[in-house]
Amino acid sequence: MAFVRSLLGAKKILSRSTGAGSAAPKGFLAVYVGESQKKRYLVPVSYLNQPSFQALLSKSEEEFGFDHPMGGLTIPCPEDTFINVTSRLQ
Amino acid sequence: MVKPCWRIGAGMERSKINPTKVDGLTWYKDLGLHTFGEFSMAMIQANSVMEDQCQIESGPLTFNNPTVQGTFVGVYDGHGGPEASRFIADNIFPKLKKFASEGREISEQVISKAFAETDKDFLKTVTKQWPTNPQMASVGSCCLAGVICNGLVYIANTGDSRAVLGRSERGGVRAVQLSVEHNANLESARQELWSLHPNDPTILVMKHRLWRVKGVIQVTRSIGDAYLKRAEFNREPLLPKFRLPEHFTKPILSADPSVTITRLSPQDEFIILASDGLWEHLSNQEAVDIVHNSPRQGIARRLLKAALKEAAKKREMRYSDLTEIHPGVRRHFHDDITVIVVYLNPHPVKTNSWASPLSIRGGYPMHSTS
Repeated sequence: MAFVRSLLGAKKILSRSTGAGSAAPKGFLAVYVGESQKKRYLVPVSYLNQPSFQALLSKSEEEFGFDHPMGGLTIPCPEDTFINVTSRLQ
Repeated sequence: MVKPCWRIGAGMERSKINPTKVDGLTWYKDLGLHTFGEFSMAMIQANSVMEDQCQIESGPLTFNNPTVQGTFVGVYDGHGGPEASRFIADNIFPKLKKFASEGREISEQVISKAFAETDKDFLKTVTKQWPTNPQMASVGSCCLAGVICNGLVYIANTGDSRAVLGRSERGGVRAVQLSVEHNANLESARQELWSLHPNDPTILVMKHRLWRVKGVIQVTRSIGDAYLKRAEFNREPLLPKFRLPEHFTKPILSADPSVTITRLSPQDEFIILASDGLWEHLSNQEAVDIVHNSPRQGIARRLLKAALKEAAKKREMRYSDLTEIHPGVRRHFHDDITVIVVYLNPHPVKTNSWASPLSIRGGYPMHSTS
């Protein structure tokens, strides 16, 4: 599991990992991001309370309903958008 | 932004007699006594407004024949808002008693009539509110009702909630599904709709990898959903996503329940009645095994927890983290869930329970986000 530092470099708030299907560490959950190919990220559970992150989830609701096709939360936006949004979250 | 607004049970007087509890988003009654044994109830909210409702009523099932005693259990899984499921919880049992009083007994016809009249009356409410609150036309609910009376269990179902009987077998328990479900993702429900609407090529449409009636709803029968029953409600100012492009004359959804009648045997241990929120995470056999192998106290909450653990696993996170998620966004992880376990005794538990009928209602406004 490869952790990468966030763009702000302050905290390990965002990490990419290849361990699809494995449980996330405490306080984190898996998110699959991308338009055609999906990349797996681990994000803090606290993101779920952030309006900008909820807006990303609304996009996925429009596309998938609540049935996320990857198992983990699936966000069908460009990876850049996702990184842009999450890098602003603490 | 989360406003707790607790109103438990149908009234304070009632909840003093039959205390029920709330823990965060969970409402529960760990163990109680109905006419034929014990029961356990639990619900958890995921939507920003709780759309599930449930009730258990035990005692006389008619107004005029005191020998007709039994237990009524209802699970109502609303969609598009809580109004239809609440309406059912307020109305279906009194209607059942009214129709049962006419023939002085419980029958399949009595139960079906209670469903039909509940739907009819809800549509009257929609008509009344149309000028001021047109979105009521897109509110609906599944309705699962069980009646245990006279050695029989009647299971009436409109929608996709489910009732499963646990029947003891050598060294274990076997799941016997008692309910017939109406969801477009079941072959039988699709065949029924296609045969009822042979000239409509878009009666069922695959959307988001799931079959939906007219591309909008998964259940093929329901209470409410006036916009799919009468064309007069399928127009502005109803939200565009509910409006169908073409006119229809025949109702697309029906409120008719599928009814099964089962004679109880001494091997029949319990019945689990639950909304689809539970069954999307637990199989029938997994659920009956849990009930068979666990203490009765708090069994409904145990089933709820088993389902939430599965939900957390699917979303690749810890169960402890899932429990912290707020209503609304929580719907991405699981649905509102209602589960009632009714244990069966072949004979009424104690005759003096007849004197004090039991009435418990669950799911009335829990949390609401504003």
